[in-house]
Amino acid sequence: MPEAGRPSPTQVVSQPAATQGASPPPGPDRGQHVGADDGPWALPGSGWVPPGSLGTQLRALLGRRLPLPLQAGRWNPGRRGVLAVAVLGALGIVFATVLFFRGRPHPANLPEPGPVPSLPAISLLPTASAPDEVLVDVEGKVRHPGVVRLPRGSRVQAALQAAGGPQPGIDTSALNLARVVADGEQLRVGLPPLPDGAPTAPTADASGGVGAPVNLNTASVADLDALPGVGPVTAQHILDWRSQHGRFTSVEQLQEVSGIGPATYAKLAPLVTV
Amino acid sequence: MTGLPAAGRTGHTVPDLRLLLPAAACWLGLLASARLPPPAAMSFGAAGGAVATGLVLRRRRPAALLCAAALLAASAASVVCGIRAAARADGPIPGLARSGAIAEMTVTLSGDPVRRDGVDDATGRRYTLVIAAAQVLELDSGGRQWRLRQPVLLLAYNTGWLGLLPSQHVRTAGTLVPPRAGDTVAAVVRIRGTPRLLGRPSAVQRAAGRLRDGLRQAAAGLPAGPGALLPGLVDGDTTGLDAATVADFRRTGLTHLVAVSGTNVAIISGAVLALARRLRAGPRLSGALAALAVVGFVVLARPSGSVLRAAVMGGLGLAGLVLARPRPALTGLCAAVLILLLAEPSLAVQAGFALSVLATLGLLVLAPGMQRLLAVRLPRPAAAAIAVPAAAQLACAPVIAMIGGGTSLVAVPANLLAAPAVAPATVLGVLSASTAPIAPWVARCCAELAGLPCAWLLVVAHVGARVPLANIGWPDGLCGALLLVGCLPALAWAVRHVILRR
Repeated sequence: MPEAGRPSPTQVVSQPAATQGASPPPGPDRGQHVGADDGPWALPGSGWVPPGSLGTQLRALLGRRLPLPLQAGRWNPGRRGVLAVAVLGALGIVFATVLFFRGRPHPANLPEPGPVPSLPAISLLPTASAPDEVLVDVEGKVRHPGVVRLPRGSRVQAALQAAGGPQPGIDTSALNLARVVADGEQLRVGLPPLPDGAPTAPTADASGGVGAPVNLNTASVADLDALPGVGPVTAQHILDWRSQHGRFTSVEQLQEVSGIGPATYAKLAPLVTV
Repeated sequence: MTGLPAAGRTGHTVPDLRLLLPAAACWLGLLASARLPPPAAMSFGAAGGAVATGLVLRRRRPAALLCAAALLAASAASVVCGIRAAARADGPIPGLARSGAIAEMTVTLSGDPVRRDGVDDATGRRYTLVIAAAQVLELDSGGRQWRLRQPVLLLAYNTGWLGLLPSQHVRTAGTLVPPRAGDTVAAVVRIRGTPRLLGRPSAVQRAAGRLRDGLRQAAAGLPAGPGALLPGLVDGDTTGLDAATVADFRRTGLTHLVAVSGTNVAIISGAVLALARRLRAGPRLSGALAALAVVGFVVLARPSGSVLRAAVMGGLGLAGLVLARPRPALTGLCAAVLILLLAEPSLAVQAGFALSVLATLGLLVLAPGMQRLLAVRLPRPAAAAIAVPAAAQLACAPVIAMIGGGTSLVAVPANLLAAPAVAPATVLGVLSASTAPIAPWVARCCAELAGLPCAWLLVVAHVGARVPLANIGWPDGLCGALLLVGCLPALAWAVRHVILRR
């Protein structure tokens, strides 16, 4: 860009040519004119201009109408420029590839949630436990949620271990791991506390009143209808969902059933199983 | 924004346009391959790369080299786009999103949760939606679990998400929904519940959060208008601004002030450099200090498109300063665009990034000519003062029209009037933010001082928006943009022949 006082456009246009004539920039890629056939951007009246060609006419027509820096600029990247672009592009591709492999999903480091560890606990669910044993419902972020059978006098720690241990990254500091568990207790691992202060510790009603969780995959409309917050319509929706999707694989899928909002779900989750 | 190109000062009399076409080609390549299936994008890229290599090896003509560079940039962009799309399509998320599955997940926030208030069309009820970008780290659905790192967009109908800091780990559950075509996330997650926080945000983000809080508190002592504007002006924190003010700023073409633009980066690095010079620091030390300030500002103001553009461009400029090999600003802009687009392809569809690049390009390419044209009738300083906002506005107008912002006719005078207030308000605001944790008293003083320019900006926006025909409606979308581009030559002709009578 010209520094001189207030040059007229024509002066400005011819200035780079003069500069180049006086001291050509070093390097192999010095052309600020790209040649007659290379488009309408080269300098009018500078460098190599074959008279009367289409390029010249185009340049004459367009060149003066383009903003000044575009008329007088240096477009030729030269081999170094091409190389620089290639290096940048390669770096971008390498970066994207690294991100690809870093973000690749892989199954979390646990045995597939096969039926072996969790099913016996549920299928053996008796209505009363043996005198020297307690049954504890471990729900939430453990590897194998469900009812576990423990020797009487066991600690919360042992109940978590029996349910496969907490899932990776789950904070168990809200639980007192050293507490002795009581028969019929529910341990909620990594779940928000129940909204209505529903009992998780075995109070008088826990042993008798609540009864066994309703299995979503075997329950009838009547079973579901008996649950709090579920009427016959929602119960039918749950059955519809089950017939559409085959079976429930997790209690959370209950939220996908139409008519079950967050509040209902929070009430239902501890009362049902799969 | 970054000032006029210092071509003469740095000894380059010939504008350096070598990277202009490659940068543009890279951008177009990303846009073109955004919706292609990954294998197609990668094959196109590979083919383009092969042709470009052939061109370089066989032809030595400048035009061939230019074509090769542009083709290489577009091909690399296409391959990068393909790999990114493949990464998003990898794993369980797309399938789960198609079936609308519920998933429980651990995510880390990658940006500030943003509040959107709206009215449900069907029911007429008001709702508050919180939008946050995040990366899923653990996914748990249908009894299966995965560890991964994929971008998702969280839509939470729960204000408990507001105020969380980037890098915060959160455990949550929601419904996975497929993203819109062309979106750069693996899925959208609709969430009803409150977030359950795991751990704390990173130390850097906590520090930035404290600075932002400090500024907000320091500005709280100001009258309501300037008090809400100052955080927006400094770090893009527009939580306090009311909708009417935002609309005023949009009508007058001053939105770039409240959505942190590259200007702030330029002002801050410039202020640090000037201070370092005054203290007789060497070029290396002052370069390092300015770079540190820029990095700090990017964390403080969040790495949005315009901030990243200005930061990378500023970083390249500082590197040139330290290495005593200054490059023209246009080279820096083109290099910054290439680097950023290849590193983060989603910027290609971000309006903020496009506007920032176009405004800078306008300053570098259009402003000198405009200034010369205006100098025929006006004194030189006046010509320069008008040419800067006019060039930026002209370059941005098509994209502003495209995103539905209409065409502001008062933008040039409004920006002209606003310009003197921006730098003092920004510098004082940054001072206020950075002193807030140490000396709240100093922070309040700085905020009080910054209140004056802020009040002036509000006056400009308020009055400008009420001028008749301040903002003429314009068709939005690509058609609107093209229509406006078509009108520009007519405008140029009118200015030249009717107004200037030449």
